[in-house]
Amino acid sequence: MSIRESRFDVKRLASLVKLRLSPEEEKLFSVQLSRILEFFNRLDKAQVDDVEPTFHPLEIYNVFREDIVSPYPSDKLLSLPSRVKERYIWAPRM
Amino acid sequence: MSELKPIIGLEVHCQLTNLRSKLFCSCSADYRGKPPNTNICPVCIGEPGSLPVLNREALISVLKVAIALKADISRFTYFSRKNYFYPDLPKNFQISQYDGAGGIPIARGGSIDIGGRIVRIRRIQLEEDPGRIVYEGTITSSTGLLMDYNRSGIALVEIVTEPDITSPREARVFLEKLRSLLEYIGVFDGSLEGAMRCDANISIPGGGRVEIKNISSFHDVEKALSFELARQKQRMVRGLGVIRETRHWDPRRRITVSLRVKEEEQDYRYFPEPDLPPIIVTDALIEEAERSMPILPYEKIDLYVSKYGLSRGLAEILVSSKDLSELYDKIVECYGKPGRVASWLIEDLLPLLDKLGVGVKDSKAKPEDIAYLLKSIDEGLIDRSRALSMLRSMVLEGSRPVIVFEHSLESRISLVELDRIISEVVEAEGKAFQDAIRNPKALNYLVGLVVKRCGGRADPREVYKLLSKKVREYRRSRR
Amino acid sequence: MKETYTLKLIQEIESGSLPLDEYLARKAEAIAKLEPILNSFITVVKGFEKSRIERLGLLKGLTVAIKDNICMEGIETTCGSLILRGYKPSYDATVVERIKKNSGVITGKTNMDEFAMGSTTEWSAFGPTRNPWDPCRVPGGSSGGSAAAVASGESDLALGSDTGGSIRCPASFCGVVGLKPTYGLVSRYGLIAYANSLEQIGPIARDVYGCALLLTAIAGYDPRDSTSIDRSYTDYRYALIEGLEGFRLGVVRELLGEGVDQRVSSCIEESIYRFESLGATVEEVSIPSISFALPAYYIIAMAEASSNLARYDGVRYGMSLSARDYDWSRYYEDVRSRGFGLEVKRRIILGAYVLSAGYYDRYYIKALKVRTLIKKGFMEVFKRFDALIGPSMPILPFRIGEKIEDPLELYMCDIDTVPVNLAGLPAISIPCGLVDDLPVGLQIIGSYFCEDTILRIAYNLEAALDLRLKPVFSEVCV
Repeated sequence: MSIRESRFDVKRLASLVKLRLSPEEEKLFSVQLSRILEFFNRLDKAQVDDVEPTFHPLEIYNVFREDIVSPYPSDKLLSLPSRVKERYIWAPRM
Repeated sequence: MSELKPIIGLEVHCQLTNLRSKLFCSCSADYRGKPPNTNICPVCIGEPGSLPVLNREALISVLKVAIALKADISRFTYFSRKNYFYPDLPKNFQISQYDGAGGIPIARGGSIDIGGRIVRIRRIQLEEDPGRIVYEGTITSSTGLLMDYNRSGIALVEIVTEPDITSPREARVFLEKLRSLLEYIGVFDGSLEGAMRCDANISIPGGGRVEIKNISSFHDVEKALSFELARQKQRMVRGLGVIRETRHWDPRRRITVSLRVKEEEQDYRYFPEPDLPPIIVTDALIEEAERSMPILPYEKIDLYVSKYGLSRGLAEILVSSKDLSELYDKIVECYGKPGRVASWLIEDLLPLLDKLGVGVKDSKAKPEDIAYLLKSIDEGLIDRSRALSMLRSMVLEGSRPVIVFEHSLESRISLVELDRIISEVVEAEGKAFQDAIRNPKALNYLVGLVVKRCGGRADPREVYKLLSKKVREYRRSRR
Repeated sequence: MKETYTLKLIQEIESGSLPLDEYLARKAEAIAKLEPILNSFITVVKGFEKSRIERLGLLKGLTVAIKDNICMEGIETTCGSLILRGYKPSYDATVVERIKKNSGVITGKTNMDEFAMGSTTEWSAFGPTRNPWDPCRVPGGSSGGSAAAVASGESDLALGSDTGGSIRCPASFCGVVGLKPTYGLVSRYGLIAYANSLEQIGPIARDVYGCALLLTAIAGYDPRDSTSIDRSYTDYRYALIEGLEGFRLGVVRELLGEGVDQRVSSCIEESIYRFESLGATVEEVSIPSISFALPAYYIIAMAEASSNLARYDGVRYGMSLSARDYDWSRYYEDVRSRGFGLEVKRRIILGAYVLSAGYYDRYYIKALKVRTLIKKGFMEVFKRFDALIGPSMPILPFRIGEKIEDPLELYMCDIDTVPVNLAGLPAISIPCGLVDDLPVGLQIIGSYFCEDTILRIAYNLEAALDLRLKPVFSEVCV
């Protein structure tokens, strides 16, 4: 692993995406993910200094909808969560 | 201690209350008072597979905001995802616009004049409102949260100022000005609960910058900042220093409490929203926004000063609320006399409304009725205290003003005498009479003169009738 | 027109020689018989064989299997993940609506790598799908269930999704035809996102005709998808009529580079002769930027995925935990740590990394710049060629478990498929031969919205080769 990757902190990143890794996963990942990053570093060889990034594959702009209300049968959505209380969706406490 | 002048910057979130639907879906924007989770769809609840589509009117509304704040509109802009987990965010990211270096908000720059001082605007952008959290039990003993997503996805315009504000009071004045401006251009109704929310940054010389979150009204902004300023000053005086942190405004206890210190600052991992194509703000879009712009407060103040000859102070009071200045315009339209109407509104009507606790918008009095009442006062047909009690019922019940003669029936002028006075007035005011022949509206002037000459003993409606008759006779004789 | 499988089937259904109820009953039998071996489906739609259709529309009552990352109202949709177990969408994806409207009969939801992250279907939380040609081998992925269902005859048509090859890879490994449309041709509304800017839903069928038919049914503008393109209706079946006289085909050197199995390249070469004998000219061409496609693809896909998968927190749908006294942050962590599999965790952690402060420019923006180069490279080449060809997969279907331990080795298998996703181009994989009784897929890449061109080329090759593939484990009707 090169020095540039020495700051790769699996635990911190996992907590950023709300994952808690088991000790085995942590061990496995720190090896595997560093290897994958090395593979990403192949891009260092690409000559892209004057190139614009492409965020969207097609160049399309200004896609809008009109400001019209069209209600959705919300009861369908309330059948999805496991816990609903008086139409409120339950979430764990702060 | 007073030399520790604070530096304050605000981050204001206003719902675009003029919209019918949410920012990225067709759910109603009118979510208030509805049973929980009845105003939701796959998009605003983040159901897998759903996709956002931008409400065109939301874009136009933000362009109007940018124009009103004299900001520079970006010709190219796009949405980004702000990634963080929080129970009120159904997708655990918020569709917003990147606020760091290289980000392109819909508009940048611009300013608001808060009475001689300029507060510069840094950024104006569009984003979605999160859902609403209701605590099961009390906050501390809560075993869970109850989520209501009716508000989720409502369009918010975020307006960020430069740190140009130097006191809690100025912060409130800024918000009042901003509110009035947004109401003028018809994109915002500040009377709706929770429609305007704000975060504030405050620091004093030598201290770290503190961000205060969760200020939910512009009354609270002054309170929260005053508390925070006092807290910071006290710490400095005691040599404790002020650390850079994020604090939460607790409106119930009226204090700020520490939320997190800056070292734990979140990494939001912004990146362009792949489900929404970028926006090219064309001339046509800007023109469309401009076309629907009303005359703006600062333009209106200039107009009142130059055209009506009002003092700047008077003009500013009238323009401070859109409803008030619209009422003023309508009364002047009916009655003329802009100076008189202005001073009467401020001296009589506003204090009355204040006393009754009724907003200008909620008053039931019609402008034409108010004009008639004011005219009657000016013509001496009704005295001020009677007029005020009449005004009260006009405001509260929408009743029409009935001008009963102040004098008894006996003292009413005789028809013969009235006819004589009319003839005299017509004779003396030949030019006005000629005007009245061409333009029936000019007749009012003569009616006023006659009523005055009669010392309040004549019924203006009767005078009007008689004068009209004279005009008709004159016309006939000329044929 | 050559009478291939799907066309024959339609003719028999329309003529009444194969009544629809009998056809559907046989499909239900095939599923009952083959599922214990293949595991193509995560959910079979109960009673689909009892569907009655009033007026036969475009799809004539043919069975369509739907990848389990496409929402279907009231039918469990899991994305091959425990975290979505029990989730029954409140709505139909646009493509599902269109299939129903065109009288397709939906048989079920097919197995896939969790959240479409994989190329073997081994990363499904519901067990791997097996290749109908050899049940010890992977069917490819991530739409492995759809491809296996079609190859085995469990279903005659299927939908897959293709983010970096997830339609073409399993089509190649299972010996069926799979098409990844131009970005924006097919609505993504109702496709559970893995990497939004790369993926498209596309058809999988036993033959090119079936592919053209299903594409005709699902393609078209959808106002609910802001990236969907408003184009006039095309019946892709008409693209199949003409020959290849005068067609200019380019063989992309980078797609046949090192790592391509010699047996695969020889198959591709044979197809090249075939194209020449059909009147096309074939030339080698190079797009050097393709050599950077793999890392660029994985950076972009993981970045988008890390954000897309944030919403699975056990509150609004899918998996939930019952313990009462929970802090929200711990609850989210518990749900996500239990609900997601290894590969998903790897990708969302790396995705967060490439977007995080200090690494954004170095990885994410750089990958997007490489994407620009690749797009330009293709555009340049399409000035001279009608279509480009190469292998779909560099290798033959391998054994289940063979590569699962090494994520990088698996990523390398996508070398031939990811370039078109970066550019947003359409591509089709079509069987071009068998090696040791395992199918090899040829990839044909078209310019933007030139699905008709690649279907036509594929159709002509299919007719010329006349392979009549029939895997070991299959039950077909005609």
